Amino acid sequence: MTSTDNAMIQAVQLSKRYEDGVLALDGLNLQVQAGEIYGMLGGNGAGKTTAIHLFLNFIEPTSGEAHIAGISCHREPLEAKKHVAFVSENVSLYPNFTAIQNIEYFTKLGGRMDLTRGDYEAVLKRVGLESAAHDKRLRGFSKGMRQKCGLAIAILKDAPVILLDEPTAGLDPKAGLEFIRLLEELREEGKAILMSTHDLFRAKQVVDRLGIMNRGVLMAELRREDLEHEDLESVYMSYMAGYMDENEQAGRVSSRRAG
Amino acid sequence: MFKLIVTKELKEIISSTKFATTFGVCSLLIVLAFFMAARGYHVGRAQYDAAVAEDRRQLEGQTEWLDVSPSVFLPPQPLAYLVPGISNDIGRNTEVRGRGGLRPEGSRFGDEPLLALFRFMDLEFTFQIVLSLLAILFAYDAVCGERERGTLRLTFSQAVPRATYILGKLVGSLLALTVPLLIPLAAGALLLPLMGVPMSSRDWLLLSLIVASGMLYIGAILGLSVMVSALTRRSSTSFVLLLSLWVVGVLIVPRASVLLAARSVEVPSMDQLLSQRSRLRAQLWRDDQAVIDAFMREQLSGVRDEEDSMEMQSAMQAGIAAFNTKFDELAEERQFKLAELDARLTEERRNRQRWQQGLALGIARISPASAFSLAAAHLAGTSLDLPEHYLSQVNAYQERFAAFQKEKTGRSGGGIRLVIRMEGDEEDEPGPIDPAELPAFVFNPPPLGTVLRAGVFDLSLLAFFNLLFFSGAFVAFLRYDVR
Amino acid sequence: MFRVLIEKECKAILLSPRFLGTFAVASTLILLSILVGVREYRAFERAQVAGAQLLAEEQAQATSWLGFPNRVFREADPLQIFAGGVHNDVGRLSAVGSMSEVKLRQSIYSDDPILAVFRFLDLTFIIQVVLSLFAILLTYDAISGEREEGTLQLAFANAVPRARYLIAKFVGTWLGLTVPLLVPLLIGLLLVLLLGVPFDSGHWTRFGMLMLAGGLYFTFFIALGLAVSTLTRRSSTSFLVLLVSWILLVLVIPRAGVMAAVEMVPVPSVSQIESQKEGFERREWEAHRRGIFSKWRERQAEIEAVSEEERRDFEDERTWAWMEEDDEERQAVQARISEHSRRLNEELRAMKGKQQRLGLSLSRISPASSFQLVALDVAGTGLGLDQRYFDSIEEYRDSFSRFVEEQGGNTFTMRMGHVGDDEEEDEAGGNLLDQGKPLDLREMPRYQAPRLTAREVIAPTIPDLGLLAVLVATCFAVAFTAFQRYDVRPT
Repeated sequence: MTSTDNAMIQAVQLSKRYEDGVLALDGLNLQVQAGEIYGMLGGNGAGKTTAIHLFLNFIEPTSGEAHIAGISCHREPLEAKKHVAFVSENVSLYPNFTAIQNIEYFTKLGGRMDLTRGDYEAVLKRVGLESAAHDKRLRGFSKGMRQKCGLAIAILKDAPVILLDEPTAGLDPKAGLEFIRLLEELREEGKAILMSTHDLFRAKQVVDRLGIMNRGVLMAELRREDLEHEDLESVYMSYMAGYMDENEQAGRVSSRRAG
Repeated sequence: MFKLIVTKELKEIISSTKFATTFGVCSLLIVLAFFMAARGYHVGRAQYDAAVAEDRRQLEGQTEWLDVSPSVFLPPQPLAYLVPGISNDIGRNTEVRGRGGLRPEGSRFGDEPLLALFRFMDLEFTFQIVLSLLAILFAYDAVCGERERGTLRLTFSQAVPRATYILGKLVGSLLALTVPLLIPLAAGALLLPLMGVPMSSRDWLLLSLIVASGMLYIGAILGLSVMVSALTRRSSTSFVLLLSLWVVGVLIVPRASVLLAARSVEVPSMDQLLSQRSRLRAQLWRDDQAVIDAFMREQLSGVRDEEDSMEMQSAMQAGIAAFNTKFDELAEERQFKLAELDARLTEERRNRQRWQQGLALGIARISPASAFSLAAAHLAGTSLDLPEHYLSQVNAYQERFAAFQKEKTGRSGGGIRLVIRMEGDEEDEPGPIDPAELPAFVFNPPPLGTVLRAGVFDLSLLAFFNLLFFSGAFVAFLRYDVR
Repeated sequence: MFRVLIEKECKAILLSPRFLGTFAVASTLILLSILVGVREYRAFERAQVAGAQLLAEEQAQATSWLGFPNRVFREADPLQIFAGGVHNDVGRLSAVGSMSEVKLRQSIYSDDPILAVFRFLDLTFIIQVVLSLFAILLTYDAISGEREEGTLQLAFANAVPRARYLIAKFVGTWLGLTVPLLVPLLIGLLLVLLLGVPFDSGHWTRFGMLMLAGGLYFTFFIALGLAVSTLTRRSSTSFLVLLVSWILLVLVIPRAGVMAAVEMVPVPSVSQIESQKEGFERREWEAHRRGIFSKWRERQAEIEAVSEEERRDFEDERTWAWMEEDDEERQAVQARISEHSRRLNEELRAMKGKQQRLGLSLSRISPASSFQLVALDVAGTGLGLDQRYFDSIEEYRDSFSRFVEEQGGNTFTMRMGHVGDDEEEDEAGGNLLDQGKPLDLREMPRYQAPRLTAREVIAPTIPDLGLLAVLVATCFAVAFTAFQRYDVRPT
């Protein structure tokens, strides 16, 4: 791992131990450059979501540092958040608002006051939400449609960093593929993207680097080239090894937060 | 299978935090209601005893039975503190003379407005308002909630007949809500004798019937909630709908019915009655006045002519006796005429009031909340029958008292007497009366049969509501889309 | 940022079906309560006017000042439309006479018990019970609900300071809930004016105070809902906690406070006091009678001591002085009776006052009591109602008695055997010196019912309003502190 000063997303010995003693993240070292997609792969309880929550300052690290665009997430959270967009695992939004209303609200909250309705519609089209659905209340939306709205919000924020937590979970193959295409576009635009997932196939399709995590520890980091050459099976096995270990300690694991 | 569903329903409800909290609150409220009733009874009893004793004490030192006008008081009844009805709004003390109109005065709320300021804590209120809200809370998502959670389609992927399911749900939730309530109810009821409130067997019977009516009421609300939940697809819709129905049924309908009836049926006001009466009385008095004046002049002139003081004295006394007799005669005639008018006017007013009441309460009974309220009030003896009953008892007492006065003094009481004492009267000065001789006023509650008959109608109405809503839920569920 | 947050909050509330349903219910209730209030106000007015007319007829036919029928009637106050208080429980008229006690009799509920079966619901009740529930229903998941939905997390992925978010939520929720409620309130007020209820500036001020108190009370429950929502992670927990709090605050504590006071400060019943007064009065007159008769015996003896020829002159000479003596004696007795009565009244009033103060202080633990007390005091239908009337009626009774005396009402009465306030007896005594023709009523003093001025009403409500404001601030402070460390993540 080379340390570079212009890493957009950076974790240095980032650790989190909860009050009940569980070590959710143990000394994570990670960097993501601009124009790069980094995937965190691991089973439930591996520490993926914990890492993302630390970047968003939803929780405080026990030790170590997290930086977004060179700004400390933990010491200057408000400043750091200006540079990051977030797509959460189960995008709920407000059921009584329409797609446009939801997006307008969150975009304005992100600081972009100058956008027009046309801008919103354009982005919704880009993420693949049909025009008929733009003014429908979110209550009737499928998971895929809601995910698209979540992505639209992230795109509209136009932040240099995008964090995604299990973005393809529950999407049908078509929606999943569309999603991946969009991520590639965003990478072309120079965004630094950190994505947590346990979807091996999608990860392999789109990431530049893949970190394999198990029980809070980053066990291995593979580059795309390595992934292409690696046999899918052995990657899977190393993943499974970590997974089986996890199962042995299922009791401890289940009390921790997922990810 | 029915048993399985009922058991599951019971377990599901009882193991929820929702249940634990609401059961805790209900128990607290119920036991508090009984506690406050017991304390209230004691305070009321102390006041009653003190008032009776004071009234008795004022008799001491009096020398003439004809001067005595005792007061009678409505004694506190234990059940009235659990189901106040209108017991706090009617006059409780009545001054009794040998004759004349009786007017109970001094309602509890009128005398102690502090108690009127903050009400609410009685058993009837707890049932009518709080428990019904909690019943809604429990059952508003009985069917639609299961649909939303997905457990409904899971259930019906098995060979479960719809009828069995909905019946199981109804019975299960009913049991889960009512049976646990029996615990605080029993505890509260036990509290009464423990705190020294005298309960006769008649009181216990009526109390159990009151509780039964409360349970029937809760059952009806529960049935209604399940029915609405089987008519809606989303639990939030069901909740809002039920809340609105509750507001209309519990808060609006009863009052609207009274106001509607008051508007449709004119009842002559007390003022009008009294004014008619006083007009007649003034008229009669004026007529008699002439007679009295002439009579008195005749007698007194006869007295003045006497020279001898001894003769004068005896003539005076003869004159006084004659005057008193004449006065009594005229007074009795007047009384008779006034009583006639009274009876006629009161009869008219009573009839119209009954009409009005019947209309108001009839309309009100559209809501099970009214049916419950009326049933409880009838059983507790605090319904609209109470003031009538009290008044009739006081009237009966007045007759007894008048007879007593006549027996003691040979004359009827009330009105004025001419008493002029002249020299030498000290020996004739009468001794003090013995207050113990005064017949006591005993308030007899209406006969059990009457009370039960009055309450039974509303109890059956509540049972009917239960049947109605349960069948409604049944029918609605048969066509419910479980997906 | 504030604007975005507040706007979203308002929209979220106004678009939710939960709000629409409960708002419809609340509006209906508000309007209904006002309409019914106006109707009752009119009915009360009519009844009082009718009573006064009947009295005027009786007075026109009266021929003697003794036993002259005189009654005073409570006046209808427009604010009663919104806050009934004890107005229906306290008597609406009192007899006035030198012999009779001032006591408000014949309350609306005692005359027509059917109205007491289901008591009236006024605007104060709607605010106190229904609107508070409404506030809880719409704020119990203010924070916890957004957390569960995941929208809280999404919001805080942006540069939103916690404090700002919470303040905006509070303001937005408040606007979204309160402003719509102004609609039925204003419509109701308009109806009141259209139906011809006389509202002067004093009434407006008092109504404004009522609205202020109601607003603070409603705000308290919004703040409470918000606070509990920031202290819990699950919305269902929050709802339960709030429901239980509501039951305790609105239903239990106010009454429990009063009951505790009744226990701790027992007060003799009114009938007991009245018995005491009657007894005293009777004994005084009895003694007086005995004294008079023995005095007359002495005077008779004096007359007989004089020679036959001089007797007539002697009698004529002395009669006037004797009459005056008797008058003085009688006035002394009356004064003693009044004094005794006054003393007993004051003792009772003092004890009742103590009981009331204790009861009200205890029940003020709950903001529902504070609000109700402010509302009733402002409307004049609180505990001060009968006291206020009692004092003013007593004053009138005194001036009326003086007037009757001046008319020669007390020059000569032969006190007969029985004393009481039965008009029959008074008439008997009076008609012995009947003038036989209707009296001249032009100089008779007329009763003026006490009117509440805005100023005297406002000052006592300040402490309660302050208390409500403090409670609102406390709830918000709690919410503020709790939210700083609130875990925004949904799982």
